[in-house]
This record gives sequence, C-alpha cells and structure tokens, in this order.
Amino acid sequence: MASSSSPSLMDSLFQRSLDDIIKGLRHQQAGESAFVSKVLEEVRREIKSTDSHTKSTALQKLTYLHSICFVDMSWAAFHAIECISYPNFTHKKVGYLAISQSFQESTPVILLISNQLRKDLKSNVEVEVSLALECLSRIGNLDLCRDLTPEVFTLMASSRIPVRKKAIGVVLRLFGKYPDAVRVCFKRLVESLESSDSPPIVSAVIGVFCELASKDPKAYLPLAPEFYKILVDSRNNWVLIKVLKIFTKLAPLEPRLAKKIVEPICELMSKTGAKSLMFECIRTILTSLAEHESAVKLAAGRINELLIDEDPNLRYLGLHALAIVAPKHIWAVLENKEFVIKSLSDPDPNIKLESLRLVMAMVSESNVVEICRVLVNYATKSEPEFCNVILGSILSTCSNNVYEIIVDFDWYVSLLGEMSRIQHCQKGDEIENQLIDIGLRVQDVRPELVRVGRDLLMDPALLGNPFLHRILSAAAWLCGEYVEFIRNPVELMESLLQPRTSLLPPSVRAVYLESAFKALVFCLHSYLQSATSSDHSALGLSDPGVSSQSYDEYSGAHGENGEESGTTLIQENHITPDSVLRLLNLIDMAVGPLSGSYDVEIQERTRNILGFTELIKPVLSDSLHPQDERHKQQAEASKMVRLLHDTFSDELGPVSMSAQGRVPVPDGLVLYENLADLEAVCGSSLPASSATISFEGSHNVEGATSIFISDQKEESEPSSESTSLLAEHRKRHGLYYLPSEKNTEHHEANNDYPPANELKSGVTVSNDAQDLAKLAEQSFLPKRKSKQVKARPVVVKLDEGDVLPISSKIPQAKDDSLSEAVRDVLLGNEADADTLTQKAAADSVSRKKGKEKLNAKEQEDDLDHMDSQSGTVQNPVKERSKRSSRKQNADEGDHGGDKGKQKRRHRHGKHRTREGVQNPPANVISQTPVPDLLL
Amino acid sequence: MHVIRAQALTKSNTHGPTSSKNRWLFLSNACFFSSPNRTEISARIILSLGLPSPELGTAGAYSQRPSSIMIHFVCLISRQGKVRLTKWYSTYTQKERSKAIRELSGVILSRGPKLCNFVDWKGHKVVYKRYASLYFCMCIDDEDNELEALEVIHHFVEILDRYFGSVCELDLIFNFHKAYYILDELLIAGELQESSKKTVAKLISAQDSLVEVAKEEASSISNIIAQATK
Repeated sequence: MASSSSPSLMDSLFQRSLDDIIKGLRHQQAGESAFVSKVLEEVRREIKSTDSHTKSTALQKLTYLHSICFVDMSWAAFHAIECISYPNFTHKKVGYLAISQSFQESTPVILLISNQLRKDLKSNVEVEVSLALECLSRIGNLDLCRDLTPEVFTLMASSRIPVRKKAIGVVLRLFGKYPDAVRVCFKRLVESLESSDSPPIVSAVIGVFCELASKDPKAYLPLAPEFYKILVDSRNNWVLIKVLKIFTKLAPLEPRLAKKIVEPICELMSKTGAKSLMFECIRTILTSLAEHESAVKLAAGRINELLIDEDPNLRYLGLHALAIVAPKHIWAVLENKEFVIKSLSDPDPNIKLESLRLVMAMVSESNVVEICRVLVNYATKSEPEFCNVILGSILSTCSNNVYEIIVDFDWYVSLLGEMSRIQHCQKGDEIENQLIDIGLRVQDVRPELVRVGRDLLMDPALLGNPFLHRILSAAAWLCGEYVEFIRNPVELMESLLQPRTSLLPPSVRAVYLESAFKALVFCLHSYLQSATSSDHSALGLSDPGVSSQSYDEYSGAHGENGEESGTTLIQENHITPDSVLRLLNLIDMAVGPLSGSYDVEIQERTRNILGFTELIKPVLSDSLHPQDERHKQQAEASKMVRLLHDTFSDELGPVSMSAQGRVPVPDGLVLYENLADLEAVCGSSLPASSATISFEGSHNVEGATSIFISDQKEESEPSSESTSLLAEHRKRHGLYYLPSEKNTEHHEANNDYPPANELKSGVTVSNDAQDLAKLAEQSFLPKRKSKQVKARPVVVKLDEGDVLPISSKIPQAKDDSLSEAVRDVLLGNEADADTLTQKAAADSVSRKKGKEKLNAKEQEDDLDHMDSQSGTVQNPVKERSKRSSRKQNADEGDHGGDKGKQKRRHRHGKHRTREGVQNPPANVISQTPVPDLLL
Repeated sequence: MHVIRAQALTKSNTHGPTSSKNRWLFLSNACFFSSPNRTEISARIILSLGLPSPELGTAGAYSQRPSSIMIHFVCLISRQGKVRLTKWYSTYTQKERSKAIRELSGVILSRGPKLCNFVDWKGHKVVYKRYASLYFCMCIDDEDNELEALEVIHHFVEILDRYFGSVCELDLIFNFHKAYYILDELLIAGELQESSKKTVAKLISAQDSLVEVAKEEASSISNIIAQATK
C-alpha cells in the first residue's frame, strides 16, 4: 500500500481537517473550482496513508466534496472499504458514510464489503449494526442481498428495537434486489405486523408493506385482516396513512373488503385533525371506494373545506382531489365550478394547472362553447407559457375522439382562427393539423373553414409571426382545395401572392403557390363557363338558369348549402376579362421571379404555374378579343382548363392509418427479401432513384405533401400502388368521394354536346348527387345523438386507425419473481422457505469458498447464531447436521416459547388464509381470500 | 369475535409507550399548519435574495425509475442555490445528481413565498419547505402523500433543532456529517423509520458518545507515540 507518494508523518500532522476545507471553500469568491481541485490533489495523496486517522480524514473531505460539489469519488472506493474495517468507530463511521453516498450497484469493489458488513451486522455494538444496515439499505445489490439475507433475518428478531426496525427497513431492499429473500424473511415480517407492543416496529413494517403492495397488491390480500386491525386500532398517523395506502390498492380487488373499510375510513376522516391523514382518507375514498356514494359525499364535503383554506398547499390538494373524483363523480367538480374557474387566475402555477385540468374535465357537448370562451379570454390575459398550456388543452380536449364533443363546427373553426391570432400562441402545428383534419372530415364546415382561412391569409401582419406559418400553410391549402367556396377568388390570389409571402419558409411558400395555381384554374374555369353560357344565352339556346347549373351540381355533389348558395356564388364570382388579364399579369409579376428559387418545391410549382399560363395565354387572349373563331378557341381553352379543374376537384378524403396494410401484395412481389444485391447493382445511382420518387409525387399532391398530417401521407404519392389503395379506399368509403366517372362524363357532355343536352345530363347528375346526400344522411343517422337540438354535421370517421391504438396492456410488474415469491409464501409453502434459507446459505458458502476467506465452521456459527436469535429451543449438540438445524428452524413456530400464544393465533389465521388462496378465482365470492374476520 | 379481541388489544395498547404517538398527534394537529415562526430555524445568517431564472423541469428521463420507495432523495439548498446536503435513496449517477439539483434549485428558488410547496418534477413530486435561509427538498412518488412528506421534513428540522439547539445554516455547513447521521436515524431505505424525536435524539447521543470515546483513544499520548514510532 505504502508507495513513494505516501505522505510523511509531517503531512499527517499538518493535514487539513474538514473544517479547514469548509472554511476555505466559504472564503473563495471566484476560484472555487481551483480550490476544489487543490484539495482533491491533497486528498489523493493523504488517502494513501497507512495511518487510519489521516486516511479517514481524507476520505471525509472527499465525501464532503462529493455530496456538495458533485466531485467524482469512484476512484476512492477501495479506501472507503478500508476505512470501514478500522476498529475505531469514528473511522468506521466516515467509511460507511462515504460508501453509502458514493457507491453504485455497479461499483466494482462492492463485493469486497460483504464480509465486513456481515461482521458489523453481527457486532455487539448497536450503533455498528445500525451503520451496516443503513449501508446495506442504500447500496445492496443482488450479491450483497443474497449473501446477507441470513444476517438480516436474524436481526429482524433482535431484542433491540432500533436494530429490529432498521432490519425491517432493509428488507424492502432485499426483496427488491433478491426476491428469494421473501421465502426467508416474509414470515417474520408478517409476525412483526402483530408486535403491537412496539409502535416503531409496526410503523416500519407497514412502511415496507405499503411499498410492496403498491407493486402487486393482489399478493397481499390475505393479510387484509392484519391491516384492518391496524386501521382500526392504531393512533399513529404515519401508520394510518400507510395502511390507507395499502387499502387503496387492495380495496378494488375485493368488493367486500371495500364495504368493510368504508366506515372506519369515513370515521377517521371526520375525526382526525391532521390534514395529511384527512387527505389520505379522501384520496382512498375517491380512488378505491368511489362506488360508495355516501362516503364520496362526505369526502366531497372535506374537499370543500380544503378549497377554501388559506394554505395554498391545501387548496392545491383540494383541486387535486377533485381531479381524482372527476371521471366518476363529475358533480363534485361542478359543485365547485366557480372556485375552479377562479383558481385559473391563482398566482401559483401549480394551482392554475390543476384547475385547468378540472375545467377540461367539466367540458361537455352542452357547455364546450362557453367554457372555451372563458378559457380563451384567460389565455389572452395570461403569460405566454400558461397561455399555451390553456390553448393546448382546449385543442386536445376538443379534438378528443374525432371531435366528439363538437356540435357546431362553424363555431369551432372560427375559434381556431381566433386562437391563431392570440399573441403568444405557439400551437401552430396542432391548429394546422386540426384545420386540415376538419376540412377533410366535415364537409358542411368547409365554407366557414375557407372564410376563416381567407381572413388569416389576407392579414399581412400575420406573415411576420413564425409561429403562425404552419397555420397559414393550412389556411392556404384549405382555400386552394375548397376554392369553390371563396367569394372572391381574385382577392384570394392577391393575398396568396402578396409580397410579404417572402417571409414564409419554403415549404409553406410551396403550399401557397400550389393554392394559387388551384385558384387560378378555378378562376379561368368559371370565367370560361360564364363566357360560354352567356354566349349560349345570347344565342338563345339555353335558359337563364343554365349558367349556375354546374355550380348547383357541384355544391349538390358536395352535399353543400344547396341551390341558393350556388347561385349567389356565381353572381359574386363573376369574373370579367379584365380581371383574368390582371390575374395573369399578377402571376407573371409575383411568380415569375421564383422560377429561379433554390428550393425544389417552390421551383417545381412555379414552373407548373408558369407553364400553364404560357399555354393558356395565347388561347385566352385570342378568345378575349377577336370575334371570329371564337368558339373553337374557347373550346380549346376550356378543354385545357377543365382538364386541370377536374384534377383538382377530385376530392381528397381521410385515409385510415392501416390502409396501407390492406393493400394486397401483388403476385411475384417479394417484399421481405434482402436488397443487398440491389444496392450492389445500383451502387452510386441511389440519388437518381430518390429524385424520381419526388417527381412522381408532385402531380396530384397539390402542394400539400409537406403539410399533410401523417395519416394522410399515403395519399401524397399516387404512384401505381397507391392508386390501387385509393381505389380500394374509394370503394369502401365511396360516399365521401365525388363520383369521378360521372363527373367527367358530365364535363365531356358539356364539351361535346350542345347545351340542349346539358340540361338533361345536369339534372340527372344533380339527382344523383341528391340521392347521394340522402344516402349519406341515412347512413349517418344512427350515429347522431338524438338529443341534439342542432344537427351535428357529418364527421367522416374511419372505422379504425383514426384513434391511435391505446395500448391497454397494463404494464406487467417487473418484479414478477417477487410477487411470485410472496404468493408462494402466503400460500403456505413454508417448507420452501427452509430450502431457500439453505440455498441462500449455500450460495454464500460457495462464494466464500471461492474467496477462501471463511471456512465452513464459521458458516455453521452463522446458523447457530441465527437459531439462538430466533428464540427457538437451543440444540445442545454442537455437531448437528445442517439439515437438522434447518428443520429446527422450520419448526420454530410450533415450539415457540414465550410468544407461543400469539404465534399460534397467527398460524391459525395463516391456515385460514391459505385455504382461501388455494381457491384462486377471486370473482367467486364464496371463495375469495378475504378471511372471515371481515365478514 | 375477532373484532372484540382487536378492541381488547387496543385497550392494552393505550397503556404502552404512547408518548411518541401523542407528540406526533400534537405535531400534526397544531404545529404544522400553524404559523411557522414557532419552530422556524433562527436566521443567524441573513443573505441577500438571489433569484435565478425559472426553468421548469419536464417529465422524462427519470420517470421510468423503479419506484419501490417513498423518498427518492433529500436535499438541502440554500437561498443562493448552494447545496448543503444531498442524500439519494434511488439510484442516480453522479451526473444525474448534479443535473437534478441544478434544475430543482432553479425551479424551487424562483417560486414565491405564498405558493404551494409542491413541484412536479420528471414524473415525481418534489416537496419543499423553506426554513430561514434553507430549502429542505424531498422527492417523492406521485402517489405519495405530499402533506406527509412535509411533515417528514418538519420532523427532520425539529430533530436538528433539538440536537443543535436552535439550528442554523452554519451548523449544517460545519457539521455536515452529523446532519447525515441524524437523517439516517430518521429515514432508512427511503422510508420513515422513527417518528419519535426523543428516540432519535437518544440514538444520536449514543453515537456521539461512542465517537468521543474513539477520539480520546486516538488522541491519547500512547497512540500518538505508537503512530510516530511506526
């Protein structure tokens, strides 16, 4: 040990003490870390000293730095172990402190302390035993726990109360790390439950059981009578709280137990003056005895007391208790509605959050409008962080289960718009998702959606707020996709192409451009339509209603507002040749410069638009001016425009998340083959292939690729396999799609046949559309709730995949082995316990053999010691076989001396419970393991 | 039948050593929620208030920690954010420890005096209480009783107060190891082990006398000579 760097005697004599270090640290103003590293250097030298005092002082200093300055001391692990082996108590103490502060389960030298711990556990000095127990409770790992289980078992019956109590505390660690310890110690633990003569012991045992039961309550059901007795008898609030916690876990498993404990708990709740105990009673009743109406009423009364208390802690806990009761007894929350709302403006953020949760719990179909109104008002007034919490909870509550509680979607959509305009709003992503989701799912709300979107797009100020960009992207997409509801498409085009859009990120800008494209196509289409029809009407070939016909069809097919809105639309939409020219110029001006953009998405879309205008311009300008050849030109123009218009008017629907999985794999396509050789073949040509993919997607995507929420993603690539997907989806949800073939037929008819025929075909289509709407109505009728006054619009729901599958699996208790062991012991396999003691002992023997430190004789002494401690009849024969000694141990209950009476009663109870447990089905009332004490 | 026997047992119980229980009841009933002045640690060190910026911890890394104990850790932080004592009952690496303390002191020190004493932290709850210039913090499970934890803290403070005689921050700074030994008598394996202040005081003084004896031995002249002539 002594190396060249080991300190001299002078070093030891002038070693700085811990006090010196502390003082030194306090006087350091800035160079604290320099000081610490200097001290560390000293410590490294001093700790190597052979002098125990010097070493322990160095270790103490290091421990101090470790726990206060978070200095690493893993390197000193071995020195700490040396310190605990010193006979001097001061040094030992320093060593133990260092170990319990710094050791982790993975500390490599940890097993070296096993022997020292055993020695100290067997020490006659109570304080030394305490130190060792404390240390074990802190650092015990599997090996240590296995090796020392026999010693702890012995100490559990110690006559010294503090030692016994600590030993019981350590059992929790033993069970956690080494479940087989249950078979050794559990019986004694249960016996300790009944040691009503010493309250600290009961307190310690209950603490252990409370933690054990929180993991696997079922195993402890047979002990219910013992717990019940403590519940009724104990006057110690610590113990009562723990027992209540145990019953919180046990009561749901056994209805009769719940019935039995309701009364004492209510009594306790009303009698006790300690708030902690009262709160625990409330919590127990609310979580586990919620079916007992009267108890819940009582508890609600106590909650009201908490709510009006001055102490913020109690107010917080009162709200917390309300949150527990909310799912089952919402009336308790509604009673305190005003208080809850008031708490939203409490200075304490915890109380605010809790009351927000409660407010959200109160939301229902009938009050969602007013509650959201109140909340949005609060949000505008509160600081940014809480504002966003409020907005987040509004969004999540309202969208819960496909907008279950929303009846008036027009209102909700305008609320979304309003929320976007709140100054601190940072919920752009969520609002974006919901806007698009609603647009896809709820047809009736589209006009309002478009109106909200247009308002957002028009406001140039919003473009400067980066948090709103996602929302704007959604608005742009909606306005482009449902452009037929826009009152003034030209105005929309202007706002989509306004100069400040340069502030947008490229992905959003791409959406803007695509929407502008759609709007342009729509404008041209309606212009050409009206031009044709006016020609026709001038020629007297058609009646005046014809011009609005296509819109009627359109809106009819969409199940929209019907004829009136269709006609009003066309009147306001009336597009003059001038405005068309202006549009084309606007596009040249605003979009033109973007064709050189570095962003692929923008560039691609720009090119699309420009290409289209290039194509359409000559045709249009011809048709605008010269009178001759007009029809021919116009037909050509409308053919082109109609083609695009048809593309865009093909409706997008929500796609089930699992849709991809339902696509049949084509024959001969090997999906699960390794593509390693493919990679070898392609080699460097990988980038090329990825490029093709992105081009492929660009046509039908309509610029929405980037903003689509995940479950629409499949839609975005209408390559060969997803067309089949689309077809299948359409087959299943045909109702929500425009009948595409008919539509094109109709348009063809428009093209090829003179207007006289148009009327006829138009009528049939609109009839079809009406039928469709009727059909849709019928099919959704049963889904509607009858009590609603205002009809809730149809919300498209896919039968699956809408809601993320919630894993209903209850997480399996990790310590299966522990519960198993407990169950075994409670089932009465006490015989096993002995073999296990044997096993544990054998384990430790084998380990010792490996280290050649202890011989078998010492091991036998262990067992002797154990027996004498456990108060059994001493066997005078020294050389008895281990086997017989264990048998002795097993029989201790029978031969019990002074405690005999108590033990026999216990055994009796045990026997009874054993009978119960052997018939496991807990549902069968006559055979449940709750003993007759409770009946 | 059984119930009757149980009642009989209660009666015999009341004759037993109940002084600790009574004190406990007294503590819970009256002291704890009354004004803190009575038992508050005297503030011998008055230091200026330095409030760090608020940074709220979010649930995450630590939440999967197996929670088979009530108290995950105890720490004492001064008003300036200096750590005075840390004791870990769950497994945390040194890195996690220092991060946890940094985050928590940020959250706790920034909270105003009239707010509640609980902070949600990484799926657990941290219960704290300020005594003079020191914040006593305790991290407990989500399902545990916050008020009980507050009482444990108060219990600890009272024991310290009794031991040091009107305890102050300086006492804990210079006797940091003693504070640990007292805490170890109070809690074991993250559970409360002793609810009687008297018992804890007795155990600590027993330890102290042992330490005294050991010190005398070590500093005896014969020992020093033995050391010197080694």
